Amino acid sequence: MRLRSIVVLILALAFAGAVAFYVLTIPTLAVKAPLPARTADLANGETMFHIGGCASCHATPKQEDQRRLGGGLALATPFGTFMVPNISSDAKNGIGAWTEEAFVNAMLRGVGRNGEHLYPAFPYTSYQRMALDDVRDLFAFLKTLPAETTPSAPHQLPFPFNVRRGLGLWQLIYLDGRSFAPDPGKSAELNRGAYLVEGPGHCAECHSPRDLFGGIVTARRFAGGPDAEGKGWVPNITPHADGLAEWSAKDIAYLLESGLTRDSDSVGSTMADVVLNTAKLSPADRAAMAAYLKSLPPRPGKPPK
Amino acid sequence: MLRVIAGLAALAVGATVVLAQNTAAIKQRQDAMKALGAAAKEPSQMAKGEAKFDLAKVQASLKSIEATAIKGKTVFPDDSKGGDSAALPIAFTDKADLFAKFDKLAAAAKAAQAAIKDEASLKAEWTKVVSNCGGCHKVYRKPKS
Repeated sequence: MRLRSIVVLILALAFAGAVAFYVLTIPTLAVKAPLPARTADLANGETMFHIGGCASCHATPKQEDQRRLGGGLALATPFGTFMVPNISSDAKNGIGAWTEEAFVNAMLRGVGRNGEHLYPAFPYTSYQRMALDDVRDLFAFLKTLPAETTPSAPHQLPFPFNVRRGLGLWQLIYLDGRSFAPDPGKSAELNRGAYLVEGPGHCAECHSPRDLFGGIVTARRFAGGPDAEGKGWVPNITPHADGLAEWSAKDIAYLLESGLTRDSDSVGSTMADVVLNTAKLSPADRAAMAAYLKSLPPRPGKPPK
Repeated sequence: MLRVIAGLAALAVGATVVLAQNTAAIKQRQDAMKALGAAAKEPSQMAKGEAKFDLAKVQASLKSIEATAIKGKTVFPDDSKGGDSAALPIAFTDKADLFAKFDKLAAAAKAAQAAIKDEASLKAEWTKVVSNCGGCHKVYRKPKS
């Protein structure tokens, strides 16, 4: 009798746990109903494409055309190897057959076309800050790019990271679903810079250390951290002595344009790809990003000796 | 015991390989990279508006970059892939691409000598030269830490 009640209790707890897991991990959507019709601004979509850095991961490897988004790059991280998907306009293997609503939910909530959670290697923790219209313009622009027929490869992840549903718990902690709110006390330039850096530019995703669960350590945001693929150290970009204290806003803007550092060395590694994108932004947008970085709270953070 | 001796022998061979690096070539390589950085400095300051435009200095920098880029193809001999160097092993296995990128840099520096005439054309054309640096450093240089 006693054994039976223990078994019943365990089963009840397991059931309650399963229900709680199910409820807590239900994907949340940014848009549920069809969006009203709208004429897309393709030039703005192209700007979002560049600042968003889509090509840095999604461009077909081993060729230089950033407009070919066939995917296939393998990202080796501590959680396993992520295989970057095809996001070209191909209807079968890309996003050509996606609805606009599905694309918006992927960008702003990390929810895939079939309602599944997407891995945050896709930086939706930053993209969630984007304005709805900017995401819609980006989608329209992506659809103008060539179709690539390479099928997307599955990720190679060990348990428990291969359980997508579990990402719902991760999102409870690291995804707040808030879009960017301009600070009325700051200039238009600083607000534009903040939007570009924090939202589509997703600079913090590499330039911050991550905790045990892969979330950004808030107190050390932008203070640099180890590269997620184990390739060295990503620099501190706050105006701290460990970071960009000695850099003028002009120096930062010029790096984003030319790839040259303040002492005329050139950036390499993944930042070289970032500069391919930021070089195509307007000078005003680069200046705004630089101004915002100079306005960040200085935070210590330098590579371990 | 035999295994230990074999192991020691392998270690000794390994150490010799490291020692036998062509340190002269590594030094030449580092000097070439420093020369490129030095040549890029003043025109970049002019493009940023931090230094006064000086066509003679820009032309001298561009000639230096062109010459150093051509020389770059001679400073990656196979016996210089170890040692104290930031060059990644792939720089020695994919030389066709590496050298094509040096040619591209030299061509860009040559084209800019004709195209840059004043401050406005410097601002427009200079990044077309220096944007080549990242293309190599992305692939062939160890990330800095």
